Amino acid sequence: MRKQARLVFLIGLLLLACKQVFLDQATISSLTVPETRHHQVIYFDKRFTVDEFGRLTIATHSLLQVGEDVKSAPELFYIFDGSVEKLIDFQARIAHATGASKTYDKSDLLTQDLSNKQIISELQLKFLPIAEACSRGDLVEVFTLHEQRLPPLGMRFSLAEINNDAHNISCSIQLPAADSLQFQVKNCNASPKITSQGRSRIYQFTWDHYSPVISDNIFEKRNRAPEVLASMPRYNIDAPRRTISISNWRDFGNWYLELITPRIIPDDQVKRLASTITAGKMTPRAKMDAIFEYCQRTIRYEQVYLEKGEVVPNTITNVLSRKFGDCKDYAVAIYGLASSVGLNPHLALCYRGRGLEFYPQMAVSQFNHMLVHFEDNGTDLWYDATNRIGLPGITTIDLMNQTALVLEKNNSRLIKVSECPANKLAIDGQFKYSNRGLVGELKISLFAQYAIDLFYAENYTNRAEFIKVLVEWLNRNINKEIMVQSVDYRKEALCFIVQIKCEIPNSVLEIDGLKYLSLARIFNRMFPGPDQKMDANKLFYFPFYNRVDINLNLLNLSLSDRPASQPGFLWHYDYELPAGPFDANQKSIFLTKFEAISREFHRTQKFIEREAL
Amino acid sequence: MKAHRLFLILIISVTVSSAQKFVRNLPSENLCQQLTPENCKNVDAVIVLKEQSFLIRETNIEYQGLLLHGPSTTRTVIMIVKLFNEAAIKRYGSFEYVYPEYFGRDLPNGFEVKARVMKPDRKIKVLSKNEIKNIVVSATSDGTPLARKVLFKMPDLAPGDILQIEYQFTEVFARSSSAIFFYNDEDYVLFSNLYITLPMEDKARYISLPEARIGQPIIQQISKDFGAGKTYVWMLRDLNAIPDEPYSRPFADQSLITAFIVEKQGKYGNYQGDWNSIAKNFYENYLNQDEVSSEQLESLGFLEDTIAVAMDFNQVDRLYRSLRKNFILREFSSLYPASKGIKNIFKERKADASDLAYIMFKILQRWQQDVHIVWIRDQRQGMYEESIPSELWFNRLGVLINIQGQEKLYDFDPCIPTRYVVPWFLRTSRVVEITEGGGIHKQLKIPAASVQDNQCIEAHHLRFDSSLVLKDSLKLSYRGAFAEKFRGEHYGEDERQIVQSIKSDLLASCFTVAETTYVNNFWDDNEVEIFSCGVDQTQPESVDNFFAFKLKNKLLDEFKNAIFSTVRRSDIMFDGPFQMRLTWTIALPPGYFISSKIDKQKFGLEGKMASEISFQLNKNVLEISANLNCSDPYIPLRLYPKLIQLLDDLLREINRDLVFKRI
Repeated sequence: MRKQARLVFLIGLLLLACKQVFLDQATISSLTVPETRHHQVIYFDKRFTVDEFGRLTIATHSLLQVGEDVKSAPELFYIFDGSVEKLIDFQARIAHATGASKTYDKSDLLTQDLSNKQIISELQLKFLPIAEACSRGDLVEVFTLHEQRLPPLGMRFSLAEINNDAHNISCSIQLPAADSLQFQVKNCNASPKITSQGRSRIYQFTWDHYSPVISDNIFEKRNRAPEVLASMPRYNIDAPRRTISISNWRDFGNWYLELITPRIIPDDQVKRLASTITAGKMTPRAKMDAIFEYCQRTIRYEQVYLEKGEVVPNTITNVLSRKFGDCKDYAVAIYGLASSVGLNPHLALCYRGRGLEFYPQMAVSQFNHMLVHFEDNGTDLWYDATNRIGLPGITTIDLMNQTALVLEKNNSRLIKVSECPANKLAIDGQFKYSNRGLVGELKISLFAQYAIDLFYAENYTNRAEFIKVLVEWLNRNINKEIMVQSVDYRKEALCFIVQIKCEIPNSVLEIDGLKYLSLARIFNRMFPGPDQKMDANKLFYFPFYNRVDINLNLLNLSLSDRPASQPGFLWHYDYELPAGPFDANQKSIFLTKFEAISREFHRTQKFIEREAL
Repeated sequence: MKAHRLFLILIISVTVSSAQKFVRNLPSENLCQQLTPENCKNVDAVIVLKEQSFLIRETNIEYQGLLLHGPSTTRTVIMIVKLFNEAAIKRYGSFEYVYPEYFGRDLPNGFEVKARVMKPDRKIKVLSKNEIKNIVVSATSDGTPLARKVLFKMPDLAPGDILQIEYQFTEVFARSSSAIFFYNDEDYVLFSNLYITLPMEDKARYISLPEARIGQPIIQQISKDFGAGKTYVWMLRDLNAIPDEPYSRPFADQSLITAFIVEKQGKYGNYQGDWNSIAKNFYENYLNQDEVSSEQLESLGFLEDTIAVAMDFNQVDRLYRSLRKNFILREFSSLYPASKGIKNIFKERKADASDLAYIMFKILQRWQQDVHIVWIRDQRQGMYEESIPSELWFNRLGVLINIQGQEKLYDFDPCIPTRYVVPWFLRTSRVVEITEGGGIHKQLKIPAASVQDNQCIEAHHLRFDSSLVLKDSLKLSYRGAFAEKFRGEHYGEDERQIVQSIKSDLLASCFTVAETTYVNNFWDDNEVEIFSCGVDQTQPESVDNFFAFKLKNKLLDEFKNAIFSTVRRSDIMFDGPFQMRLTWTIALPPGYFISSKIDKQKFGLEGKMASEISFQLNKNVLEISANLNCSDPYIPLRLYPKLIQLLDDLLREINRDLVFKRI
């Protein structure tokens, strides 16, 4: 029966593949688009089709009008083919402005294997070398059909995928009529037109136009393009015996756990190793920390994506014997070792990278990272050994306040990866004024999540190169013009400390013998300036250090209104801001705090030069 | 080398795969103990042994019942590396090797690789064959492999380990008549060995540069293969690392090298390994093929009879431009033009630099001009050695035309605009002129570049709007090397992508809002010109009845960031003499006057570089200019700290507060 179902599906795909898919002349003539000398997509249709067994195919159909710069071929000519999304069919046609036309099929595609020194995978790039045959005004029509081999990951279409000026855009989701669709539309007000076709129901979303835009608003979210997300109404996990519905995150978690279970069961060797690693550790936390330290120290980061490896981890045994892997492999190694000694860790999926809005309402994969969650006396701890840089129990800063799906049978749930309370950027400085600016010493201490990036850089470079990294970090985060004379650094358990001798040129404004200083003049990269757009409607997150403690000792400057008997000035300022992503309430709290801090940070104070006695 | 690969299919033999046995032993405990990060400061790894061997031998392969016989080439590389940190593991822990398949699946080339790691406790772990992936990276549409890639990641690798990788690539029924070997590497090399074994009947010449440092080879009869000649062995030690640094001489120019040139190829030919022979051979095989027809010429906008017998360079420039405009230029080129397929090139209208050079050459020949094809190795790749005659040095063809005693070289590199100018990377290059009779080395008579030839200008026009927001109208102009680099960076992008990329750069350097941005047609024009309006990053800071702000710049900051390093290891070699000019004109807001003390400042670098910043007030317009002139593109390593100091001094002056006071 299972074989039969598969056969029906394949025949369906074959029939679809054999069908001529090109738009007819009347349809093409009806497409209205503005005149331009650039490439533009004048028609784009994405179609997700779910069959009665819950199998999913994705058809992408586009029509490109070639602009004058023929050598810059748009990405539509390139198609990915991998073990998760398998290319089933390809058809293309060039309709020349002269009236001639030519069609192409899958056999015309050239293949580039994407495996290289960095990544070994089954992903291939297929491309049609038709840019050579194109001239301005030609129409290039491309149709691709992919089979989604892991449909429960969900359906997702963002207009950003087109990556070009586009018109007449649509996204359709076709389901068996018996099923209803759970969907969300983001960043626009599109609502679907629902029609019936035979035993199917089609939800069609349309947009007139899309143009990719670079934002200069650094506080804005990155996934701003209109987007449709839909979960699988039904998925036949073991046709025809068991059908599941991915209607919520619990279902999603169950499906994914079942998919990877054969790979995460520890064998006796793993159990023995776990016992050795945790020997003498009394508390669950100490055991988790020891396992984490072992995995971090022993396993190096490498990407080997075979057998749907972009989504499915390698087996624990393989990871521990090869001693390399990616985030999923680190996670299963920690998970396997920890469960071997009776602990109760959970694998967790999340998105690594700030500035992306997560849509909790839809059980659709929005993840690019895996780590381990462990609850210790009511506290959520996160173990992320990826890149060998983590600190036990906390994540890197790019996971701060992100949503993670903690995987547990029948109890998978979304949890916020809370910002670590120990995060802090502490700056202690001692400076003397000179006519060049401030000259002296700075001690910069980065605590907890803030420290991890430097732990990483230090781990992957030799000392001399790391010092260059540090100088660049100072230029990017502390002061753009800082001139570093010498640098030293050291690591402590949760802290990275940098000590520098430096000059901060032009940090003191001199007018009529008075010296004017503000924290913003000294640390011109630490806090956004008044020039940075802060549009409350678009505010999403705060991409700067949000917990800061500054202590400066200005040796030969004192406030102009202080008596001469008080030379020098101790300047203390600390602040704490929410980091985002913000909801409406947090946004208002953030804005109030931000304005107050900004005022203080940019407040200019008057000093006079006065030597210490 | 295409011309000299002998695809001889004569008699048969069977390839024998060797057992999992390593050619070289791992280093002694004593040596391992000496190689520590403490003893080798600021390095990621030390290459204990870099061994290259090159062997041409007779092979017999059975193919469809036939016994085929012919010479095959085997290259073996052995690397033994002590890894000090994770950077070294990243560099050496993953392996990738791409090789061609000339005969598809019928007569596959051979590739074998072995690897092992020795832990600090001297336990050895050998790479399992299951970990090695050999995949087809490109194939014809029927699946016949054209190229393969071998990949693996070495398991269980940690700082302190010693990694040994030995690989061997055998090209079936192919041989070359010359090869160049580099002794140095990205990391320090303790021992670097080279073995070359050619057939006994071959007569070869061996050249090492610099000979005094490399010394004479040991010559031994090592190979027991029938017909094998003696093996020439060079053994060097203590070779400096040549990392990839900005503005440094190319690796090939810094490394010690040995090359061989076969002067007479045993029984397979009468090949003479000198410039004349290889040039003559090239001429016959590649330059004396297809012709350009009058229809094709017409399609380029040229009628035969419109060309005067006495041409001038304007007409040649017009031809060059027409070729650039009528064909899509491929970004990468091969030395070998598709000279047998001109018709196809005209049909597809897509060609690489050598194809276009060939077409131009054929057209000029048709017009009876004094024209020659030349082999180009430009300054970005380095120099070629005249003492090592080989096509391997070159990657594309150019056209050398002589009109009334004046010679001009035309090159189709994508960095050059369609209105032809000689690019920086050819200014001091030598080329090999290919003639029917042989090859002639030519030093082009191009006037030495001046600082004005390679120039970039950044001109800001700043004005305050009614609420004292600083608006900036910026013009960037690049000429010479700067323009050529810009073209190279953006080749293949369309105008919108280029504008977006410029906007991103401006937002990172001097604007907070980039409103309108425009770039000229720099693919055609000699100069790149960028215009942009926006809101300046620095906004005035009000204090009492003053306000102050600092100037922002893009070019000088970027230049300093590009060149800054805490461990510069090699001399600096800029692209030529160059000049950076930055200017700011600031219209004083009504009711304010400038109250900053402004002094003219000059900084220098031992006559090689000079910079100056000056201020001038013209009525209500403050004009500030900063120049950086580099008259000598060669800056020895010892001057590197002074160079950074000079840039810091200039940037410090540029970034000073400008203070305006209310009248």
